[in-house]
Amino acid sequence: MSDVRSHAGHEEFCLPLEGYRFLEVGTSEGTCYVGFLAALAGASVCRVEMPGGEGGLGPPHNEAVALELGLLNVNKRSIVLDLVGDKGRTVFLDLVGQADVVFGDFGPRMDALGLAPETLFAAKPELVCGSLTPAGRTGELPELTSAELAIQAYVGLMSVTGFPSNPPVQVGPAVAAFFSGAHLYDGIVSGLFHRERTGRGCIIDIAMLDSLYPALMSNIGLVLGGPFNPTPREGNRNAGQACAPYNMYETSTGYVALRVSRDEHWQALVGLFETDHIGVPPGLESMADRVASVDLVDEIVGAWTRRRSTTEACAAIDAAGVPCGPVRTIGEVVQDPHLRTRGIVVDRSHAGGLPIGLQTPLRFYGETPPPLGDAPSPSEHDFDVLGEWLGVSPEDVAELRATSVLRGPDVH
Amino acid sequence: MPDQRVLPPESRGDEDENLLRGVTVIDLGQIYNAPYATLLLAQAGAKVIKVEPPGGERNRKRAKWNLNGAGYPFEMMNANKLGVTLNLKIPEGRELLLDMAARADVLVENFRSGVMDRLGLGPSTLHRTNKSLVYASSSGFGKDSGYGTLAAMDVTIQAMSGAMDATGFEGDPPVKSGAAIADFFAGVHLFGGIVTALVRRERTGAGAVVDVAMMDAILPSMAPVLGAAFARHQVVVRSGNESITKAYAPYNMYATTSGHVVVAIRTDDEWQALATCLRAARIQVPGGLEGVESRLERLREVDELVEKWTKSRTTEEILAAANDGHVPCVPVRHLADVVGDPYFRRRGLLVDCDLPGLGQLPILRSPIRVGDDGRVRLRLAPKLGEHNRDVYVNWLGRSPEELHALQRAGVV
Repeated sequence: MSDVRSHAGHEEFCLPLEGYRFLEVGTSEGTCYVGFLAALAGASVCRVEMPGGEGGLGPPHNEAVALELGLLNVNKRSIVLDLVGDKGRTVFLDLVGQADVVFGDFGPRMDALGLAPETLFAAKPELVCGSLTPAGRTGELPELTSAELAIQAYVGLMSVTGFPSNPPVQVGPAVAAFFSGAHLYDGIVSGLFHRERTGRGCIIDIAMLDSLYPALMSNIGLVLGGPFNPTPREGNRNAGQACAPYNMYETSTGYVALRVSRDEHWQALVGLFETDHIGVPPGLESMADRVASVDLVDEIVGAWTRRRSTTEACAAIDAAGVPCGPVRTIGEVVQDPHLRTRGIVVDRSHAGGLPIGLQTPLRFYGETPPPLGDAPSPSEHDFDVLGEWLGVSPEDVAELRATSVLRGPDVH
Repeated sequence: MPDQRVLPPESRGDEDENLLRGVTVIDLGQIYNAPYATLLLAQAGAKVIKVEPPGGERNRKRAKWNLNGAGYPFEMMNANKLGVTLNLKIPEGRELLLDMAARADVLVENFRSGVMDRLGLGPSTLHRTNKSLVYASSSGFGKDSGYGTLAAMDVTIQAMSGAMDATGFEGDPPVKSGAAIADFFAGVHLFGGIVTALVRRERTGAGAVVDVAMMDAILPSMAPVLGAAFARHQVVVRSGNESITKAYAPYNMYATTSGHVVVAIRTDDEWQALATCLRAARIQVPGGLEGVESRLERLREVDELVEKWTKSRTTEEILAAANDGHVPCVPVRHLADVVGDPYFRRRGLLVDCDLPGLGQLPILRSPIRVGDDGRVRLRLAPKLGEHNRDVYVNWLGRSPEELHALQRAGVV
């Protein structure tokens, strides 16, 4: 490890998790994301894929999923190990013996294989063991599916998403998977911190349901605070009816989202409307007035935005000091030069993969994250990992492949 | 004055096992983003000192109005924190903060970019007296972003990240997530960045400047959308409640006579279980639907089959049949049912407390569950300035007279 005692002088920082070995088990997006964050924080991350995958989900069978996993599995290594056979389980336990962290989809299948986190932790008390399941390891809802759509439905997110006149709708981003992955990462690094101080490991038990619940904070406040609202979806308006205008407005080229959280914001907007000769009737000065007349307020704002392009509207609203942003298509997001300057979106030229990559959101100012590598193909690192971690000779790795303990590249 | 607020009795975990025990955090966070990170820090055992302006932070002010349940989020976001007041607009207040930062391990803020530097409290200043401080900042677009000082709110980040574009039904306008996903994604990543830096600091002594952007933090959850966009070489259209990556079928929301259910079939075993259920309901299942590819090809037909089953039955009837047949199926729940769900009590995510003026309130505990009982003992959110004496006198070493003078001068 390099000497990094110089703190904020930025002379030389090591990557924060350099030297830690992470073993990743499972194919869920949340699990893949934990490994993504760890790998780009400098940990050595090895994916252990099972033939058939956890829950039988198997390797990706369509291009979209394959591209997605290509984004999330960068900078990792991969082995495919038959955990059903005794030999494969022995190899796995040997790898756990050399790992600082083992994490992933510790569902019923891992339990049935005798590889529950409790078992692994009992055998190695300094291990940080992270589990990600739909409802946690306490057995409360053993059959809950981990499907993104189902978790969003069950935690109430869909019921508050969409227009009042429409049925509930899912959130497009995979929030159940990524909130649970991010929380598991958080728990794991907390466990590493504790281990640095005490030498003891721990089990982190993350439930997808739990991880998504806090983001519903405002909506929960509404439910607790008043009579139950049978149509709780407010489209793009403020769910708490605490702010107006707060909505998405049509422009000549698309939409702009804006939020007025103070009366001064509204005054600034009125200034814009007046130069456009859009009349604003009296009685809308206070937030409470505007909330009470929200349809009228939205009509006035919309009359102004429709006369200009999204870019023009955003520039004027921002200049007036009111929080706003263009509603961008995914194509526009991908092309955004500012995201490249920031380094969160990276252009790539990888045959068969996406033309862009994503960097880690865990950024340290003045430090450079490791360059994005490629996602491994399954089994790509049988020799490297078993050699480096366990000292297994190439001949013995070949033998493990020949006996299907390691699945090797041919099966895929 | 004794605290009249009632906490239910609970078992006390072993405090030595609180993962972040011994870490002191100065928390300048407001509303949701940074306060969520510090909520998780506090509930992992860190000593979090919430520093508020003399009138309280914005979320507390909202609570004072208690309009439409606005009082609840403050209580839920600030459990287990100590509360002090401090006026950063006057030099004596800033001096006090410098003293606190000199003794702390972590400082967290989510002011608009540049505010801390203008106050003379930026990371380079704070690192001069405490070079191993982890300075953690969360903003809309990150430090040195091409977006300059563009204000960021949850809804504008949802708009600009493409999350809105990916949400909703085809033919309808984009719609935001009902939950504040941009704020909470930033918060959960801010925690990750902070503790990652703390792990490195344990080994090297180096501080860091954690620089988390709401935009960066939401983008990984767009991975399935990105995969779908590039796989089809077209701009993603909103896919309602279908599988965004077109990887699974049937995978959708279906109306029942009493509400909606989600059926999420991802494997052939699950399809067989569903087919058995359908046949038991005397619905004829045509042949040739084995294999997800064939079901995707006949997506409408498959959806209609499931709909035929659900639309003439109540949600309860569907769930009972699905549960018996091991079909992955959940109700689309309203938040009132979610908030009241005994699962969250047994799991320990929610603890019902009596709060004067607010009534029975389910206080949130960290989704990062450690082992069986590794949680800190729950303490309710601090009253404004509740711990001024503990912090300024007992921790910082000011005399009671000095504290009194500071209070008179409006510093605290």
